[in-house]
Amino acid sequence: MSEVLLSTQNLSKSFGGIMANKDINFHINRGEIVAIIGPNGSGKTTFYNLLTGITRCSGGTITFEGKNITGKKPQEITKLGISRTFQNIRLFGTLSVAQNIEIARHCRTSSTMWDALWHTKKYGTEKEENAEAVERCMEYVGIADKKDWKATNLPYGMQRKLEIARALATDPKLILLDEPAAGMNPKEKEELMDIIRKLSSDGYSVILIEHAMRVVMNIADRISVFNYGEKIADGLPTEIRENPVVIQAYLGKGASADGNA
Amino acid sequence: MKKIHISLRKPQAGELKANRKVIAVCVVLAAMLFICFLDDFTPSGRVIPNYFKYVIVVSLIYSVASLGINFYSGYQGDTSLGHAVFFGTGAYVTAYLTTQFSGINFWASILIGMAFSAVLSLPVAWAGSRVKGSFMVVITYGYCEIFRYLAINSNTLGGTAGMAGIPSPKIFGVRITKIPWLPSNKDGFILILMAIVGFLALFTYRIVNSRVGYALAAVREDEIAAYAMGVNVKAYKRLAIITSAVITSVAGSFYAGFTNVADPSLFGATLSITIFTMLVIGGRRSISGAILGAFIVVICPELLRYVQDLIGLPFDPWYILYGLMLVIIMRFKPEGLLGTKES
Ligand SMILES: Nc1ncnc2c1ncn2[C@@H]1O[C@H](COP(=O)(O)OP(=O)(O)OP(=O)(O)O)[C@@H](O)[C@H]1O
Ligand SMILES: [Mg+2]
Repeated sequence: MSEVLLSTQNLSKSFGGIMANKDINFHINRGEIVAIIGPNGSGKTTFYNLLTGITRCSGGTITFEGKNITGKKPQEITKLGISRTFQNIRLFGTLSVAQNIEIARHCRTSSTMWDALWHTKKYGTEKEENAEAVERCMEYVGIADKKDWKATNLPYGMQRKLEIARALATDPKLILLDEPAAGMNPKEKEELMDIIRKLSSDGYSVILIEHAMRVVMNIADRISVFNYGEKIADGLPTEIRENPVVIQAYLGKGASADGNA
Repeated sequence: MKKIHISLRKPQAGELKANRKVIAVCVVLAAMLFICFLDDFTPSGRVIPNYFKYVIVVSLIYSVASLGINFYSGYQGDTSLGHAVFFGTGAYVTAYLTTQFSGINFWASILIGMAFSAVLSLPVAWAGSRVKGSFMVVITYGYCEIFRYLAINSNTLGGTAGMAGIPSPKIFGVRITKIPWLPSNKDGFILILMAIVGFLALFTYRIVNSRVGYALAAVREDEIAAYAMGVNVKAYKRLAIITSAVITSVAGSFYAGFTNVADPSLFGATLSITIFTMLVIGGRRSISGAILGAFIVVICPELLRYVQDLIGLPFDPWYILYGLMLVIIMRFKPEGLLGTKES
């Protein structure tokens, strides 16, 4: 059960002079929930951008299911089974909840203009499959009653849930969540934790960037700590809580490891 | 809780509205057909002036162009002030081939024009994947002006005067202008163009509600998120401009086949702006809107010219009213007459 799903070897990214990511060696096993924590600007989102191919790395490699996927295009990486949510929500704002999710089926379907024009059998089958997937994903995160809502009209917390539903609709093996609890009220945070636990028990692997320590400590199997672009620690939540290097990094930023920094 | 329910129903009302729009368009088309063939039922055959039919044909030709630009400036979302490139290409390819080579007929020239336009759209796609949408306005504008100057300075293409004597298309060996069972020389064009506009409306509707249309919507709304959903953003941008160019090219070919001339203004920025304006007035991403926009921009000036003659105005009122109309529509209905609201 401890089969490695994704790992990085000395993954680096520099923006001009800034090393946003420096020699990151990271891994996640199948079914695991790994949290990434770290002060603002420590390179967590950059790490996601590298994993998903949105940004090209300056050095190192990314291995997914035993294959080297470094330098692959973002759409190829999605198809391989890595999907994500965004810290600064990036929904298709003017479209409905259902449409947002259906778009995510793109990488799992293949009908062309021809199929669409003549409503071929393939078009019909895919439309049906998509409709099912949309229902399933909406229910998964609990927004089924908002099906026809325009994405921008949803309350903030629900927009974050829709992002998860959309990521789920790509049929991923690994889901990268970038601060999913940001802007959520305590009740929504509880629901979010349930969703993440369910994802893990359903066999999805989850990497979670999160500042809300209560969420992290509660659900993460393992925690990686980033600071100034480097991974400075990696271990069980209990280990991280006591790790002097981590406490130092957070204290240096004027916050404590179990605060809400 | 109640409020939420009310807003839940809204999109369904929107759907109903869409259905009503389709019905409205059908009624308008049926009415047009009836008017056109009214002559058949009158002994003199002169109830409907031929000029009216001319206006209808031109409106239908521009409807094709407007539906064409809708794929790029509507569904993919970048403004184009260069679609005359494709209109002009269609027109000139038809003009050149049908006048210089007796073996190539009008219909073949449409296909060849479409191929040329597809190729000429690739630089736009190339630029579009490298600069922001707002820069594309200037790039597309410059692009069409290049072709206008090329046409003006090309002897093969007839220079400033352009090319004349383009033969009217034939169907099964019969000139479309001389079909025996049709009352006037415009009716053949009207029927064929209506069929084409109808087909394009269906084509657009089905594409938009398919995987391809959804991918275009994703690209328009958020490129980064589109990538994350597995959409090949560059490929879909290319697809949008090629589709758009190819359709617009058909309009150009018909324009040449109908008016029997092609001149450099068909490549010009003025025509580009006109095509874009038709779409914006009618409503970006609205099929019926694109058609309505074309009819308004073609028919209104003709109507006003008629009024001008009638009451003896010393100037053409269109130029004032046109600008005024644009301002009013953009102020009170920025999404276009038949477009859907964004917020
Ligand atoms: N596209 C970019 N160009 C230049 N610098 C960038 C770019 N993206 C990120 N950076 C820099 O890289 C560093 C890491 O940024 P990143 O967004 O990865 O941090 P983060 O850990 O996600 O922070 P936060 O907790 O605030 O989200 C920052 O100094 C940031 O300014
Ligand atoms: Mg971040």
